[in-house]
Amino acid sequence: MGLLEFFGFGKKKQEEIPSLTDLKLSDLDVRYMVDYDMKTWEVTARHYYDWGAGDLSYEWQLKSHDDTLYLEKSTDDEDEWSISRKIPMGRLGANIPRHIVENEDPPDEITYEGVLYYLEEWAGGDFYKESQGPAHKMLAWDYEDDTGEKYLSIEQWGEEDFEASAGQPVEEYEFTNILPREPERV
Amino acid sequence: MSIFSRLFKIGQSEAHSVVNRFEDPIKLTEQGIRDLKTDLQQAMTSLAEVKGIAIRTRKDADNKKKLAADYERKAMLLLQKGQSGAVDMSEAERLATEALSKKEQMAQDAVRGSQEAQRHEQMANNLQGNVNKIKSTISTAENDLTTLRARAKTASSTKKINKQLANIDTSGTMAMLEKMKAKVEEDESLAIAYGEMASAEKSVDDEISRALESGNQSAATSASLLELKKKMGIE
Repeated sequence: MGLLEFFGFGKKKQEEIPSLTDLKLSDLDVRYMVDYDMKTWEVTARHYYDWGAGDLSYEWQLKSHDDTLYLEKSTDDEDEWSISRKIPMGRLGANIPRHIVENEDPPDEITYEGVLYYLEEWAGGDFYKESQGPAHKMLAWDYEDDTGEKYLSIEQWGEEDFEASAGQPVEEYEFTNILPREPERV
Repeated sequence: MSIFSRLFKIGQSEAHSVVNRFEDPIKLTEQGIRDLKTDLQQAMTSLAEVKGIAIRTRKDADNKKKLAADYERKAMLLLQKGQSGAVDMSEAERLATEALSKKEQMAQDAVRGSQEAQRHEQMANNLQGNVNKIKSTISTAENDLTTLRARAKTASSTKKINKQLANIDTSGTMAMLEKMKAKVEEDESLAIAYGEMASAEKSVDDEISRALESGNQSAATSASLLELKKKMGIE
């Protein structure tokens, strides 16, 4: 410690240094690294959904060397975390998009990889890519299996533009070693 | 105390106060924690970079492995086309050899990349260990600081109370009360004495006055009586 620093010159104030010892999962931002399921993941995007009435959910895209997953935080009395991976819409059955177009809703029950999923809830919202506007209007239908340990989601982004994902609930403690990184200089 | 001694004392206490401030263990611990956090930030930045490199290297190695497999598949397709006559066999063999050469190169790159990724991952693990160690040290220091702050506050309050207690001169107060009591008693005695003296003086005065007044009165009364008797013709 130099003399000048000792007397408070050129010393960083405490609040300028982020709290690195207790970084939480919700602190994740683009370029951050986090360990999950024996792998290190890099945060490559951070989006959020506005479901109206102040109901927001956040989504982080995580990439490892061979996988991409989506970490989502929604708040319903308490924070609920889940991960999901995109799946081809066709894997849910060819008739799902048609069913939505014809009935404005997908079926109440869907079987995927031998598991029966039940429609849990659906909502319309605004999607903010990279947490910035303009908002993209979308609809989402969320399914759960009997145990509540497996999720399935169908999203509609346009007249005939659909996406599907399969996931599961996760606990915050499953994610460790969060490492912050400065945003990449362009 | 001379003015010089007093000035010296004032200077001495100021100097001690400054030294005490410099040696304040809480401030020193806070500074230590800030320094540790700066170290942690640097270590975490380095670790994040190493992990990022490890992911990219592993991804590159995987891609090279896939490309190697793809070149092998292409070499097989070329040979099949050569066999089926779709492509001239010698040309198919030349291209298949090229593809196999590429496959070898990719496979070697994949192995090298995989080894490099492993080295980065190992380095990341070591760095992670160091980062966890610094985090643990900071956590311990912060807990100690909380305890230290509480102890310092308790000590300061205790010191203040004890100082206040020490400053209270109980015996002096009691002596003062005794003195006051004695004075009151003395005053009371004096008051009684004055009272007695006053009553004694009064009685003497009264006697004298009474004697004097009675004398005058009887004389006045006698004169009046004689005058009345004279008026009535009584002898």
